[in-house]
Amino acid sequence: MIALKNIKKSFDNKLVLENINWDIPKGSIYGLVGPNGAGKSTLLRLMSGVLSPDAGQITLEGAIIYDNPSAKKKIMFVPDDPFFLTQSSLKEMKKFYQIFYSTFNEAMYQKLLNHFKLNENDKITDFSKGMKRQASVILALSCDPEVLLLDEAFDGLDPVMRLMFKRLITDELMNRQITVVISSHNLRELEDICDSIALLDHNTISIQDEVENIRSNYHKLQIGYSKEQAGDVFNELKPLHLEQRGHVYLMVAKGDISAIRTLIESTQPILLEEIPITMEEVFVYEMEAKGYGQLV
Amino acid sequence: MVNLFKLRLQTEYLRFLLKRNARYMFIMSIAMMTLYPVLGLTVKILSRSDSYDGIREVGLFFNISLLMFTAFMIPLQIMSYMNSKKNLDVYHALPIKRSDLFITSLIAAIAIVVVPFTIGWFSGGLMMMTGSFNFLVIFERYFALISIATAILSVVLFTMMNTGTSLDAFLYSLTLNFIPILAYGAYILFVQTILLGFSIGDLTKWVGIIFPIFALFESGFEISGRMWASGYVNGLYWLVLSGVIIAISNQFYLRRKSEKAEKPFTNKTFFPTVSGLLIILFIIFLYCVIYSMNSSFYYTSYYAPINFIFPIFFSMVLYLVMDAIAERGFKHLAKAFIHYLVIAAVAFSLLIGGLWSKGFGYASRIPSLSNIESIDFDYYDNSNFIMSSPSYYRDMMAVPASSLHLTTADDISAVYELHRIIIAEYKWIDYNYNYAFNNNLVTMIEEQKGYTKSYETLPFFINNSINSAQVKITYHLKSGGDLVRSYTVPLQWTNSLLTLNNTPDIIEVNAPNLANMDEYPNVNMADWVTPVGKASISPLKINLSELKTAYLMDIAALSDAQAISTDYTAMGYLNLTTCKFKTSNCMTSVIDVDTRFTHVIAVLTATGVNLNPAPETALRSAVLILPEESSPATIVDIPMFRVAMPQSSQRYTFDLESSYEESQPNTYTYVNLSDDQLIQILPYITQRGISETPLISLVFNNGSGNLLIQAQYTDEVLAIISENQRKSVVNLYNLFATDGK
Repeated sequence: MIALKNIKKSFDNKLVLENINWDIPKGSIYGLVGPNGAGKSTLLRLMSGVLSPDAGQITLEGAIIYDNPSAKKKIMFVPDDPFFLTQSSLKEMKKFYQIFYSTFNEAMYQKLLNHFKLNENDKITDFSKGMKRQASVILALSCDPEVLLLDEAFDGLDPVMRLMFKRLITDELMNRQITVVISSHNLRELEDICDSIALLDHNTISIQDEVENIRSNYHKLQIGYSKEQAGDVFNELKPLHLEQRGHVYLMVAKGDISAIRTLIESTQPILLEEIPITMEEVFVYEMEAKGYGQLV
Repeated sequence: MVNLFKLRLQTEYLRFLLKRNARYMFIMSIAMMTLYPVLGLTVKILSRSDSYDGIREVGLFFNISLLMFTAFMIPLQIMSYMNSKKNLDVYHALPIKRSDLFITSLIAAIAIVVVPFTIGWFSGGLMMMTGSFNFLVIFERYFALISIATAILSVVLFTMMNTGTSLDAFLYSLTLNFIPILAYGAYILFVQTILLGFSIGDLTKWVGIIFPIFALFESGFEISGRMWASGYVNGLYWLVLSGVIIAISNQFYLRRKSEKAEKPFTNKTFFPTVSGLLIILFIIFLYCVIYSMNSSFYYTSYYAPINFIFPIFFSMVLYLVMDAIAERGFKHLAKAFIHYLVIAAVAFSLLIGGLWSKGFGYASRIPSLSNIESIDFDYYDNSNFIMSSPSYYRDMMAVPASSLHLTTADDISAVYELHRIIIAEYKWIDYNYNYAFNNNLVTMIEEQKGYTKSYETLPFFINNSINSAQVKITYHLKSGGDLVRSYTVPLQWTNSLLTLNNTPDIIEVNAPNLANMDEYPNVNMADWVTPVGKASISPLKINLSELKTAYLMDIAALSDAQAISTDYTAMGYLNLTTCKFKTSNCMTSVIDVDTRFTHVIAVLTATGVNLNPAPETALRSAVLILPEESSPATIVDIPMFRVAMPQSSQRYTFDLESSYEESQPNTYTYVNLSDDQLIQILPYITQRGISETPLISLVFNNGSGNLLIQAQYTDEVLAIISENQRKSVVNLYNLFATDGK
């Protein structure tokens, strides 16, 4: 569906993205995660055609997206800080989008308006942050896009609205095979809705896989010993995270679980237990391993 | 440019933008109509006047000012999305090609500017229409104004493509609008200050095509000469220019990086280019201003440090302020200072290079004589010593006479000789002296070590400091092209021009009515005037064609010596008014006639006019000033005793005396004339020429001219006044103060 090949982007002399290769299949919901300043928003802007890559190509079904109306017609980008025309109402914004999106779905618009209980004649400047977010989602989904790019999509939404929003997206996916890319810091939210995750780090995508595959590749283990172990006992496993509490260790490691178990068992632990790992933990430990967030 | 033709208008979006701005357009239309026509009509009704003069101009000014203001502001508003990353996230994600978005926004901006103005302009224009301000005029001006407003708007657009905030876009739009006029001003000032002989040409014509704000008001009021008289041609020029700027802007827009929005500049070369250019122009401009001020008081070297200090300080402060605005702070100050030094070095290299090379030899360039096809020669000499009064009156306004178009080898040589003298004399002071402000040029040159005079002096004495001539020489070269030079030169250098007094083209200055008879064919008034009487001639009896032919024949018959001889008897002058139409669009000038003009006399006699009209009953009192028995002895060399000037010359004997300055006051000997004596000496008077010997001067009470007694009749005249008491006077203005009549 969307293919990014060898994408590179710099702002002035600062490298933001490099060597990005990413294929997003049709009908998938991709979560885009990464630390602050990793370039998530930049990547979404590149995919929506707002920015032009310095190198590489971004295509939608084989067609380059940048300055290509026929490709862009199928994409809807909802930025983290939504834009509305000065002193405009939702109704006026609808007219604005109708000019450019011949696919604008009036029935969907009305349905979403009822869902979110917004008055289309009210001035958007009077809306709260959450209401503005709702308004931008209503407009985006009403444009009937094939690809929906959401930057920090859940920001400003209350729990009920988040849920409603997630349902809307999954409904769209089921009904129209829509492709969604959501960038967020909230991995718990993404975990619920995304089938795949891409981790943006050090200017490039370091992990991209289905959520289940990622989960199955990361293991959180609690290991207990009868006596204290040498400091380098787990070195061979290259753990992402290792925590010692007396004779008990908490370790996060990546790889085949049976191989990991075999190696640990060779150290004759008295306790070896696998604890469920969340995507948020995967993200945190991955980033920790790369030195992100550590106090100097 | 190719991309410009690929642009497609997004009509739906255009309609959307216009609808969104409909209220603004309505309010602006009302504002435009407030003074023009509403106030105009109100004033007209209240004053019960048929004229709109004054109030219509106020309305026009107001509306044109609003048009200019909106041309600046509307594109900033319509395309403000370009200066916000948040807005760009939507606009540049829209399924529309950037160039189509650009052209649609542009057309919307133009429409939003033009629609209210159109409503105001035509409602005002049509309701306040007059004979000369008719629909054709209204429409022609409208076309020009709209085109110029589009050009202003396109400059704003171009600036927006290079800047990332509305503030910077606004500031640099203003700067870019003013840079051409600053560049032109710096150029004019530089070449005028530095290059001897530079001819400025028609300033407003050039300003009108490089400075859209001036062009806007100029086209609205038609206040001065334009490059092209037609408003349509002017409008077309600005439209083409707008098209080019818009095409370039479109290219810049396609390359403009969205991520650079909200930064002062989206194009990293824009600020260095514009600020660098501005600083260079300011340095040159200010240097020339300071040098001119300096040299208007003293003989000053180009390189005197005083000329450089203010330009350096001012331009440095200007650049540092610009940099601080661009960088939004002073952290960049040290770098900015280094950048300034580089820019200043470039500016001073250009400046000093231009000074040192005297415009790459411009000042001393003179074509070879053999390469000159013809010369257009403009001469203005306030004293009229060398040629007749070079102006005439048209509709009560003094108009300079046309250029002399010189084609004969002798005439070309005469002007060429003057040019050679100018180059040769100025060489002694390295072409570096502002004679327009300082008037001791001849003395200063003569004081230079090793100086040798390169010219033949005039046959009379004139003061070094007060007599100058303005000349403009336009060489038409055989090799193609023209070479133009203008100078203000001391009259002492102009001896060679005396031979132009018998060139056929002298009719342009001596008899402009005849020279322009094709344009002004209708004789409206003709009077024959002598020193003692006047006779009217019926306009119907004047045949301009015959008169012109006769005049040219008389001129052609004169040798160089005869043309400036004082050996001919004054007859009088023909005061002639001729018109374009029967009685309107008229010009008035005089034709001086003496016994040299035999053919003219014949034509005038044929009209039946008495060329010796009966003396008026109360003649003006007159005196004869004698060139002898005066002190100091050298005063007999002054123009008063050497240069004869007709009564029509607008010069007075008293003026000719002032060209001579001595530390001791001059004492003149004179006699009063009775009416009979005056009539007796009339046949001995000469009115045009230069004498090698001093002649008796005839002075009338309140009469103009400097009439002289011909040398060969000196004895006859002295015999007539032999009984008259010799009197002395120091101040010539007191000649008639105590004598009553």
